[in-house]
Amino acid sequence: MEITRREFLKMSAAGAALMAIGCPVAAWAAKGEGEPDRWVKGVCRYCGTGCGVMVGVKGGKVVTVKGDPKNHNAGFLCLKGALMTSVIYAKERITQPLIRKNGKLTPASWDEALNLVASKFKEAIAQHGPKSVAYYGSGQALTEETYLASKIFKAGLKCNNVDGNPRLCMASAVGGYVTTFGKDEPMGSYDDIDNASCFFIIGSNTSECHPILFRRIAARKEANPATKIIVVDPRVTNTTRIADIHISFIPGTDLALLNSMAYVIIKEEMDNPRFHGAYCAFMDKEGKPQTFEDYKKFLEDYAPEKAEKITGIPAKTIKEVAKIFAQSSATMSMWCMGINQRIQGVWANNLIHNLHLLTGQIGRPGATTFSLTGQPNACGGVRDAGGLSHMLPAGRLIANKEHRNQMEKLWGLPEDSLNPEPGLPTIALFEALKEGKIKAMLILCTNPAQSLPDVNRYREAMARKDKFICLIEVFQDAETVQFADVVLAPAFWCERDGVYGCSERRYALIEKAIEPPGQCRPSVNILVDLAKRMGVDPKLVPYNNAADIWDEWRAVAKPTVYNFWGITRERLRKESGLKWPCPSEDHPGTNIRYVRGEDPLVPPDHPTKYFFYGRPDGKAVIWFRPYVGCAEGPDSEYSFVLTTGRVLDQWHTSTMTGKVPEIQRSYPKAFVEINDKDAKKLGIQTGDHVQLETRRDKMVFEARVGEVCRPGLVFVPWFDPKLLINKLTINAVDPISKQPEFKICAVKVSKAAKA
Amino acid sequence: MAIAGLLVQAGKEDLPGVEARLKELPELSTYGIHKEQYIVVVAEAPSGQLEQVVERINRLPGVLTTYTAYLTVEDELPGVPD
Repeated sequence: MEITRREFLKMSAAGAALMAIGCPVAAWAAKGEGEPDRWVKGVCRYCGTGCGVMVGVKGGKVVTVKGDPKNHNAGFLCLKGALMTSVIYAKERITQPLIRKNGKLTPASWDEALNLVASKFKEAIAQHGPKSVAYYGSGQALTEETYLASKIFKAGLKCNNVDGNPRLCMASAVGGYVTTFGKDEPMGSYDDIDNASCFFIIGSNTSECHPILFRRIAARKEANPATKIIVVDPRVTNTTRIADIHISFIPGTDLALLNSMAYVIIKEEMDNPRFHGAYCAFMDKEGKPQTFEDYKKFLEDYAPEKAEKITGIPAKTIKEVAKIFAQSSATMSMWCMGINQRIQGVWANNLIHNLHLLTGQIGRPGATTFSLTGQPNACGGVRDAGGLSHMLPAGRLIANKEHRNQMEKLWGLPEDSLNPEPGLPTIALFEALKEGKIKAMLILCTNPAQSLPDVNRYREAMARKDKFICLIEVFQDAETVQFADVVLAPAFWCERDGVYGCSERRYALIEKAIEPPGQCRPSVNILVDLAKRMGVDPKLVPYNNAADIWDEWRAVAKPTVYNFWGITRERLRKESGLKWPCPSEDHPGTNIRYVRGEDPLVPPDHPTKYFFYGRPDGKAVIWFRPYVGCAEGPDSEYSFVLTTGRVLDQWHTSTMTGKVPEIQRSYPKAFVEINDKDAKKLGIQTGDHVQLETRRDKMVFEARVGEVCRPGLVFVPWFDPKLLINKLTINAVDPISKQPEFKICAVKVSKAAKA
Repeated sequence: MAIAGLLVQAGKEDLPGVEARLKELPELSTYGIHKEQYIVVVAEAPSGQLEQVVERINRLPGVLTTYTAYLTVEDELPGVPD
């Protein structure tokens, strides 16, 4: 049978879809003329789900992207992941170094640009010390890039001002895991979705922000209709379409809900004393040891009837969800920015963990407490490799002398030579820039001129005449480019190789598929070159490529509980990702941590089944965390709550998705969602112009009126560089994680005249 | 023209109705109901309209969501040999 090339492509498309759901595809498997020359394995460039992709290359160009059937996503991709091709070939690509001269970025040679950057950093350090320089990185950078940049600054320049945009999205999840379990990162994996009989989804619009995981949740519900899905969100999002119970609540009051659920669980004897009696310690908010009886007393303030007054959730509903949570055969909690981007983000994380520890809904297939990640390598790169200002690689802390000494030995440095003082976390770092204390900053793969809260304040900081900013950036229209003194041109996504680590501790390799355009270079090569020019000891950066760095990073993690020694580059080339801990090359990776027989770091002869080895006493902590409100609640003048977030196909600051015509046409600009009852009172209809005014700034958006937001709440997506909603958000931070409260601030809403 | 392999997910009882509605859309070819959850669909749309096609599918009654398993835009790239 002869088929045309177009028919062949259609068959390939149908075949890939069938493969994704495990159906036979023999009829479509025949190789034809339309087939790419080769398929190269990679990981999607967008969210923290970390979907495996296969990049189809023909004639040296990427022509096709499809899901990797062997990775956790089983061949599925969301539309934005499948549309990566237009991003690679966007006309806005920066293809050579640029230096700002007379206010304009002008082409320069690599030598000229790198020498200028090196001289500015050396000058700042010579005149003002190592605290006057900084690195600001990204959860989208490769693991090798983050590890290397952190090493160059912390070991080479003795500067701990190394932070990154995960501070804006995941820092509270880190704080929650570390304070409850002693170590960062979830103990479960995506496989738990297939075994859970109750999903407790709070502060996450999984459907739009992690669509491939939403598919898996929906598939679980379809396969087992008795599965209960509870969605806690003040908006009626697409995620609520599959919910058995949707709980809307007064924004910022969910700590009271979580404590109240704990109250009900204990009051109705649905807790699991055998579990929490053996494996948990109780602590008050200052970290002083307490007893279970003390905990019961603490919870007296959160009887459902009392919590109803705080949260607006009927007491009956609180009791019902507590019962479902505790009594399901396996409950999986999932959360994201609605919990993390809060001034009580760490506490909210602790309270979710509390419910699992109290009920023993943990450490079994389907029973787990699982933080969803926003970026593709916030976990593997920044969190694991130590790309934050208080951290060293593999969970080590700068403030801990023993940890510093370990790293000095591993990095071949003299003992006690690392700087013992933690650096500045993101908001403090940009405050220091504003005050003129940071003289030179290197920014890699992130767009702070759009993504920081109260962004006018920090755009002003970045615009200072006496500062020097070097940006390693793919696209010339990224907002931060306008503040850069030098822009370096990096290879993008599958134009170089490197590792991403997603939400489930899975490390997977993005292989090089094509050559980068123009003079673009892999960022690891840029960083090594720059380090040498800045005077960093060449012995600290003896790398030819990312693979060399990966091998060092494996050795650095090996003596720790992050041990992934067995995840060699060679295995990553063959397999579609592996989950750490993975201590040897014959180890298959770990699905469930802290459980004997599952986690290779729990000795096989350990006397008990569970062992929270990150804590000195081996016990996880049930914390007493009282309800505390938000930093800036509504009042008589600013009477609404403003919240921000994502929409399905635009991603982050849209520097990538904005290059895709299909997506751009669908989501061309930001809008404000407003409840229909509020809209009626204010005389607003869909399409009207609405002014939002906070204590920081005011802007006008087009209205979308409906029932998505509860009364008193408005929502604006943050992808649009022309309507920078972060001009209105607040820079208040969580006292533990230093993560800003993007999710809540007070806003005045009024109808505006059409322009 | 872009060609996309899509999986349209719907509740078990809604599947036949959703499939019938999909067949009415001119840009789509359907490839049956599978695993009691999915309808395999191939969308063939002029450049820039694929997203609208997916949106239209998502708005159909009974559709939970749509996933992409394959997408090719090779016609739109200069210098790619046929």
